[in-house]
Amino acid sequence: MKLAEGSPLVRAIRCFIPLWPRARALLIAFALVLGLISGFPAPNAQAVERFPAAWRGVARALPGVQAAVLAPFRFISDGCAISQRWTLFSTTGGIRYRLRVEARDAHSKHWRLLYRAQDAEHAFMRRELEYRRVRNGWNPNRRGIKPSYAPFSLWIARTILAQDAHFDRVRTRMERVQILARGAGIAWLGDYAFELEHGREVLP
Amino acid sequence: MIGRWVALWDRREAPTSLAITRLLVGLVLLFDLAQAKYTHAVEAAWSGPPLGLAWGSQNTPQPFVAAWFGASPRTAEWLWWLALSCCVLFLCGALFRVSALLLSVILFQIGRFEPDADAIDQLLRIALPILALSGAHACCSVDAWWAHKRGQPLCTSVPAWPRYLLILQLLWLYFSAAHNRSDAAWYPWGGFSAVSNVLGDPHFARFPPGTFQGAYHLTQLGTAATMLFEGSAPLMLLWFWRGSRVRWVWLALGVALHLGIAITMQLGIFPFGMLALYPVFVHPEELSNAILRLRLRRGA
Repeated sequence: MKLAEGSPLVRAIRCFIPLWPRARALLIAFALVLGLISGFPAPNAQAVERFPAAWRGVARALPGVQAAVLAPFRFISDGCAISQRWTLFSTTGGIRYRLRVEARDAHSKHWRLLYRAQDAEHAFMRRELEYRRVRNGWNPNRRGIKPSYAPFSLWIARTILAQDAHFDRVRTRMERVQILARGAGIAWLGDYAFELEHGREVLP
Repeated sequence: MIGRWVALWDRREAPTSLAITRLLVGLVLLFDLAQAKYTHAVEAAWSGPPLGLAWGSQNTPQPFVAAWFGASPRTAEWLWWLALSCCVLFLCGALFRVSALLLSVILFQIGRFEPDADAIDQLLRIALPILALSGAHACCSVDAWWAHKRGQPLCTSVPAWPRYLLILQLLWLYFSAAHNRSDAAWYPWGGFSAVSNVLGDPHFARFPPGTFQGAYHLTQLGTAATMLFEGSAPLMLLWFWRGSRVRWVWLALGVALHLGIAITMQLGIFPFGMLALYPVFVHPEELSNAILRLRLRRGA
């Protein structure tokens, strides 16, 4: 299909072409400003307490102002699942976790360790569990356990129970470990966190 | 001032840097998709509970793929095949704009399925639409070959703005990562112990915790170098503007940092995905000069 030379659409396009560089430059400037606002580091409550008293009010109001300015454009960040705040290894050291997946023998009622992070002797479904998208489901972040941990626990329980009729329960939990100073390794603190347990009732 | 801003975003250049970026990003994405299949993780990662981990598929409003087809293992499998097909087309530069835009939409959907995904997923979700709008298919692509076969002249210049935007995105990512670190371990008052700590994290470390105890001072140097590298990212704009050679040192530090991560940690495609975008830091003219110099050296 070819548009007629004098048609209104062709005329409109011809009028717009010289304006395009300016429109594009304006759009880019707008996108950069939005990106900077989205990525501007709003301090957390602890950090705000360390601010000079005069600045605390401003710092506390900042996240609200940021959210209000970005509100009309949230459909973009939500729809595309993007933001401009990048937190890469923002916390390290201290207490960390080590995932364990255990199953209970239906007869002896003994728990058997199937998988433990970084344990070559207990490496059930290791390839799958350590693939980054699956690991993201169970690996806690700086705020603690993620919403994907419960679905992960349920999924792994269903998978194990469906595969092996000898087991009647599956649990996932994390060893709490302390990162030792000067790269000396880790020490188990003797307890567990984030324990979830499922029985055969989770099977269809 | 406004005129200079408009002129900056109206610049054109050879398509080489963007084409290489397209090839590398395509390869990284293809590898990631292949790995998902190889590890049998497709269904687990992209099915909704209780069949998988994709809790984001139950959010309100639902991602349209979940709303229309259901977040089932079958949809996950279907999504994977579609992503793979688009990725192959993107890599080859075939039906480039359509395949790149469709791949972007698939990555957006996957991103909504797994809201806690890696930073590299988010970066690629931003980079891909920019590449889709660029002339990254103007060379080293099926589209370019086809156009040439049909007698169309070779495209020697494409808009430079997508490359500039990708540069800004990478620099902001590094700078944002640096200023969002509140952990003392990244700073002198925490003994620059962050890299050593990360290398001991049982969920990420490639080697058993304690392996690098003898190289603790090296890990401290690594922490300081990381903060210096990321914190100085905005200076790259100045170095670019002045054509300073310091930017090559900065880039070399970035490459070393990502290769170090790839060797010592299990972070999937993160280091490779970052490095795949590095060709945008090199002007196509510098790239062709380097290739010419290499050819001359071989000839001599």
